[in-house]
Amino acid sequence: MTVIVGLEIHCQLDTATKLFCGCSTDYRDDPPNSHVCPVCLGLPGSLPKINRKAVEYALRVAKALNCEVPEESEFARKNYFYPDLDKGYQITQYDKPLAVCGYLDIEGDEGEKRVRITRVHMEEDPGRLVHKGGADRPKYTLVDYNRAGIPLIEIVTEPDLRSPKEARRFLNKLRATLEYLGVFDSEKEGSLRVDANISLAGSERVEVKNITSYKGVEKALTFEVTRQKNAIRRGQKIVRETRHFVEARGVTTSSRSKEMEQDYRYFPEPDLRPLRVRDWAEEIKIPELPDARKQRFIEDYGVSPTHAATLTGDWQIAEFYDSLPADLRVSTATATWVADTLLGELNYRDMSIRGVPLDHFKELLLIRQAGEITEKAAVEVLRTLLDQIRDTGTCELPRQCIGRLGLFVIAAAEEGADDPVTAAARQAIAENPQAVADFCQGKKEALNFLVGQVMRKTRGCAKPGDVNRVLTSLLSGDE
Amino acid sequence: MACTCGSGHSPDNNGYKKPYQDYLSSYRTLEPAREAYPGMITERDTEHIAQLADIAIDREELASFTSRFNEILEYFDILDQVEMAEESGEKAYNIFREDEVVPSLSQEEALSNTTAPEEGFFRAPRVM
Amino acid sequence: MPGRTVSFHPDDRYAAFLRTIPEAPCGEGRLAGVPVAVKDNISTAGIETTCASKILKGYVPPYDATVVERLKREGAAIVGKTNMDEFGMGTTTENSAFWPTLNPADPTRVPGGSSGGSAAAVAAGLVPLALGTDTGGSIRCPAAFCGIVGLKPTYGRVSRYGLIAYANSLEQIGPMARTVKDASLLMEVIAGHDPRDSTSRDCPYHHAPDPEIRGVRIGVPEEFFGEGVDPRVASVVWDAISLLERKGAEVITCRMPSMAYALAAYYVTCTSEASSNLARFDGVRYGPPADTKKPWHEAFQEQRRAGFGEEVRRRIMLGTFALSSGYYGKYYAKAQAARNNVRADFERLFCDVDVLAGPTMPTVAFRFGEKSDPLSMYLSDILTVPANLAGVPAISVPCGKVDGLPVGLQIMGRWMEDERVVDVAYAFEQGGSP
Ligand SMILES: [Zn+2]
Repeated sequence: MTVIVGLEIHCQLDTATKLFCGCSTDYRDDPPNSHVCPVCLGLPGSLPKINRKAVEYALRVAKALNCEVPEESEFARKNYFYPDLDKGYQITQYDKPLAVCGYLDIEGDEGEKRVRITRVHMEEDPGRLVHKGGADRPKYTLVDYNRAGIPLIEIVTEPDLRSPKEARRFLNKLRATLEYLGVFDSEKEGSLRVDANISLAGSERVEVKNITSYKGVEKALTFEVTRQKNAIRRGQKIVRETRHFVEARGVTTSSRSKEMEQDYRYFPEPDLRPLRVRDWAEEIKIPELPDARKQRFIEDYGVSPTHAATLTGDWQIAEFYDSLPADLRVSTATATWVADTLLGELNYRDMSIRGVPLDHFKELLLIRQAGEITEKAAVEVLRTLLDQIRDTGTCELPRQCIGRLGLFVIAAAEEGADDPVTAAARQAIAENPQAVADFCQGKKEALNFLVGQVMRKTRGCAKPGDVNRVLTSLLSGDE
Repeated sequence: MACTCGSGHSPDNNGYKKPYQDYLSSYRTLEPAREAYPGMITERDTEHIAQLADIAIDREELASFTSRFNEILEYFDILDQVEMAEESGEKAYNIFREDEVVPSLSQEEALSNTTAPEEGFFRAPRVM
Repeated sequence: MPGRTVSFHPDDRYAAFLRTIPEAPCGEGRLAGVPVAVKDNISTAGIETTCASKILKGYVPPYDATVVERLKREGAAIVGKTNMDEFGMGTTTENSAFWPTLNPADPTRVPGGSSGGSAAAVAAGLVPLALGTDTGGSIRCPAAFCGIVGLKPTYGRVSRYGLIAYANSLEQIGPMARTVKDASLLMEVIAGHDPRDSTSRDCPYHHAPDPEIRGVRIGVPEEFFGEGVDPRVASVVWDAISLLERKGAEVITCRMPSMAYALAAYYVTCTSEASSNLARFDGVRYGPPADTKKPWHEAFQEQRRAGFGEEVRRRIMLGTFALSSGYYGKYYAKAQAARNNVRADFERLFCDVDVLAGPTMPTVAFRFGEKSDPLSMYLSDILTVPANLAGVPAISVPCGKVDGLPVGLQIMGRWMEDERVVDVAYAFEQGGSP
């Protein structure tokens, strides 16, 4: 059964002020209703005024998504009632959106895939509701309008996605693109919300609302596919409906309260003038996007396509990689270290690249490159630093950490000298007569065992080459 | 018809692709749909409109509101004679403000017209 | 000059004011110490602003409308808020949720509306100047009925920031005064660009009225003297136009066919916009609080039934219907097309004439309760709505009486030529032969 998925994605644009007033968008740690003014509070007589930067950001997105920008677009009022709505209508765009007819190429289930973008439009976020009196039977509602008026773009795709995994891939690519454009901060709570339309070929379409995370999209859609397949198998008909995703339980539920039929009575917002931004859109320069950067990483740095995809799939990581010294960037070891080790350790801790002092990791890479610590020690230091950040929010300097843990490489001195590596080697030989005997009988694996013993005694700080040389020299002396 | 969006995909791909103009007209049909309220509007229609407008309406008022509406709507029918035409007249475009923060109201000012704020929030009826 | 005030204790026998400020602060400037009355749909920081509606009872704006800022900057004393039809929806001020205002020219009659309080306050001599607002004639109608001067400026010439919206695309704040010169002075103070209003134009008004009108071409559309216009009113207005001709103006009769559907276009547009504008009155952020013990939909419905008067509810519902699914094309879209035709008619006429003249209102002031059904009330706006639909300036200047009741001469001008309609009105006001 073919799965057909289309997405509507709402993203907050990372401007300094709201879409229609000068209130700051930086409200997240502030008390409720402290970032409001007559405009975003919907006080009688106030008038909206369009934030130029928000339009510019939206145009960047439109360009990056290969959209057509119509000669004229305009804002419209979407009329409905709800306590989070400050004016009794939302200022959005309706039949004259900012941009239409675009596409985004992604890695699909069957190779490269072009996902068509129906439209990109701008609108304002409503306020935030807090339900009082228990989740089951709330007595009343509290409203905070700090979020009211935050600029959003809504990106609508054609129903081109064919699996929950493709939907997730699309979102990851979209997020990366938005971050490359510098218009979006995915770390902000509620910065991205998704509604998904999903149907099985030949059946009715179901809309799943209220998905607020990237992972949630795949989960919600997977649940829906299973639910719909099971229903069809049992001979039930899929009804056209709106369902809500309950993130905590990973399920979708039918919106049981049959809210009255919606009729939004859109009409052009008379307090604003239309936009004519096609020429402006032409002039706007957009930065290198993930695909181009991936290609550059492959061609200029010799990074493998898989690593290049990982390294460029997140703007911050790509920037980090680009900021490394030239000789590091072209080393396969560096690519592996960043793409696999660093990101793997972050993932393991459910941590994000943001909030991690990348300069520290750059230094760690340099120290490792200079041979001052071993690969193993480098990983130990990385883990230690990440644990510190997770637990306390900050971490030591890498050198400090390496010193404290005594992980700097212990160099073996010239032959016959009494350095820590030689001492550890002598000790290992003394403690493992059987291995020595095996070695003498020509069992080369015995040497590996002894090397391991020495490495353990030096806590991984000896260079394997040194250990090999010293052991071989000692054992042949014993012979 | 060739796809005009320049993205290179075929317009008949799934039948979803719409050139821009078709796309717009699909949003709003300007043809009157009389099915909803054929001829005169009824008291039930008036109730429905009141629901949409979020205004309660008494049984007693329903009849008089409905008959007034029909008188007025009948007068509005003169608009049927008007031809749709391109918009004319002097218009301004692209009226923007810069992305510069201006001071907001204080929380106290914001809540000054509400009688029972709670912990800095406005209080609204329950939504569930 | 901090601390200076104007004492204001008027004998408000016509109930023009909803509230007065007994000691009103004032300052220096072109209106230093001049008492100015402000219609109650214009936001005044710290002074209750209700639009004469119960739903805004107790609402005290935390900010001043731009026009109020401008008045204060020129030293004016805001001495009170005037009565009006609730949210501006009416032609008589009978639709005030609080009380009707009486016409100082004849207290058994309405002062006109919706800026009836401002007109009565000026006509009764309580203040020399007042601000009104005009969505479809709400300045000119009461000016005509009370026998004063009222100017509806070109759309965009005066900031709407702080004006509690009824129909955004139609309305303007404008001056009301006993003389053209005073109205022009008040216009100087309130006009000019406001960055907070996206529909505001950068076109300040600096003008000394000039009574010289030789060579000015005055068009008189036949439709302004058509069915429904009281012949006695028509006669007084024709006399006024003849006086202008004697002073050297050229009078040309003309036609304005779009008048046939202008009123319908007006009512569809204003009710549609109003249905959306008035959606914010839900009792959460201001006004009497909604009942938070009920589910939100029920609470809002009750709040809005109790808070809005009958005419306001009617217009909200009419507009809701006109915008609703399946009807947008029949009503709203057609009204906009009709509006374009009105605009085109004005443009065409203004190729051949400089201003248009006719009566402001088809009749003299009504008796209280005379217009009992809404449609006949709406029809009395027929002569004033065209200027709002086209966004052009229009002034009403007293031009005589019928049965002792004032009649207004309406002069409409080209877009942004407010100065010219003021000049023609001034020429008439100066009277006599040159
Ligand atoms: Zn604000």
